[in-house]
Amino acid sequence: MNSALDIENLSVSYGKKIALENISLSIPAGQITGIIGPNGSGKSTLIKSAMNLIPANSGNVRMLGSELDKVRKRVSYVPQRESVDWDYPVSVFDVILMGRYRPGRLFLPLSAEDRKIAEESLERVQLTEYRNTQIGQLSGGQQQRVFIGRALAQRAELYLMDEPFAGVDAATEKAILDLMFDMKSQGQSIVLIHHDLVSVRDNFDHLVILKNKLIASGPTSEVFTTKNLIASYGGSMRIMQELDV
Amino acid sequence: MDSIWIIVVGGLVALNCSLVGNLLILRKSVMIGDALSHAVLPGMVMGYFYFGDTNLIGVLGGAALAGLVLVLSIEWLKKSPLLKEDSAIGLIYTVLFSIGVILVSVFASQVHLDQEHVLYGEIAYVPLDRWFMNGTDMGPRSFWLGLGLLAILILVLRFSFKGFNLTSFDPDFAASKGVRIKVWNYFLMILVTAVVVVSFENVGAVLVVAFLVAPGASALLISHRMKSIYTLSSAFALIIAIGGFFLADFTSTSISGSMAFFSGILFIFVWLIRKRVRA
Repeated sequence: MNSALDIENLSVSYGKKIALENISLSIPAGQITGIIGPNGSGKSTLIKSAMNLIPANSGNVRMLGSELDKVRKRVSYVPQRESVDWDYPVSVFDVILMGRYRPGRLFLPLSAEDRKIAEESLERVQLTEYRNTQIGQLSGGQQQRVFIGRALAQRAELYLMDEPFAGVDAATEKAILDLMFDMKSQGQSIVLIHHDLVSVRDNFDHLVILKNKLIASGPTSEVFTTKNLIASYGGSMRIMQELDV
Repeated sequence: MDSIWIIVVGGLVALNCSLVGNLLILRKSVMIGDALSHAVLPGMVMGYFYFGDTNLIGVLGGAALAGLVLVLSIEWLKKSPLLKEDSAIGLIYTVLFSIGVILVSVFASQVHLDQEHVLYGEIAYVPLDRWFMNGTDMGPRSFWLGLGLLAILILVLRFSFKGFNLTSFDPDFAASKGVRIKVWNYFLMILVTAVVVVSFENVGAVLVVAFLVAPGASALLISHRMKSIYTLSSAFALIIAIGGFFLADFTSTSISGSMAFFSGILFIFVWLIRKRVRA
């Protein structure tokens, strides 16, 4: 089986605080993979250091079988919604167009093809009617869809999403999930950080459980167990009983 | 005629400052602009001293060098967990500026800068400092400098519009695409340094910040699109120059001071009418 993301011995620390300790895992291609763990368990750090946005102390990362710099065009990163200033004076379409920007061609105008792809992405995240709206006027769920629309415009094969369901309403969550299943059916790989344990089993093929160390990584049916969840979240997780895992 | 030259040069200073100031505001780096406007002084004085008053390249080079020292040392100090960015900025730019102030007093006889000039500039002398080409009087030197810089800025910002927008709005996303966000940051710092150096003689190190911030901050109050922010802030820059001049004329006070003060009045005015404009 091809892998979307291979991580070997990755360690990251902030000052003296260890965020990730010696993580090794392999995420299969063409599937939806969830990364779960409590706050501060290193989920965002894992994705960011894999994307080379924060420096790692040690470790080796391969995406789609190659080094990141060779496959950047085929990889899309969706940051946390809170990471940007939504008062920034750009419209929904402006942001989605940014998916088509390329480092070597920033000084050149975008092609008609680029605009067409951005229009299609706008439609796929159902924001056509908000095309020219300033992004600060949108609801949380709509803002999240702007980010996903921008990622779709990249026409990537591997999508790394940092909490795409944070602060979105149920309808938007459903819409985003449908979109992800659609992307998966086209052979794309999706890796996302997730908070809500209730929806894990129905939606993720593969699961990574973190607690600064790797607790488990494997098919959801195998690793989504009470033992692993307690190892990650600790005994305080009452929700475990409700989940009936 | 002299009054018109002063207004025109003031307008050019405000326009140039507002063009780079917009980007500083959106990147939340206004304090870096403030720091740069002070920190370039030692470089400028050395440039004047070694290359002469009229050699702009030497002065710009010295200023750019001092600016680089500022930016690099802020980044270096920021890495320490003991010091936050704003402390690092405050610490370094004042040291650099004080070196500049000392150098001005040391070289007072050789360099045409004095301490008052450094702080407030003297836009009233603009019509006196003229540029002669083959013996023909072409008009004030500051006018041609400001105009040349404006042309360069418009051209540069036209082509780097996407790059600055991407790296300002979402630097992580930009970096994930392989865009060198540090290079873009240095690029902006170079533009700001050039603007600050050219504006320095006219409005000084302190008031230049008003021109960097006020037009863009006022435009942001009533506009949601990048392109209209450029247009609006340019219009505001011109209003500040004209309004400030007549305020100074009416009250017989400092021209650059009145222009900076008028920028505050303009901001308050826009703030007050903002609800009507948006509605």
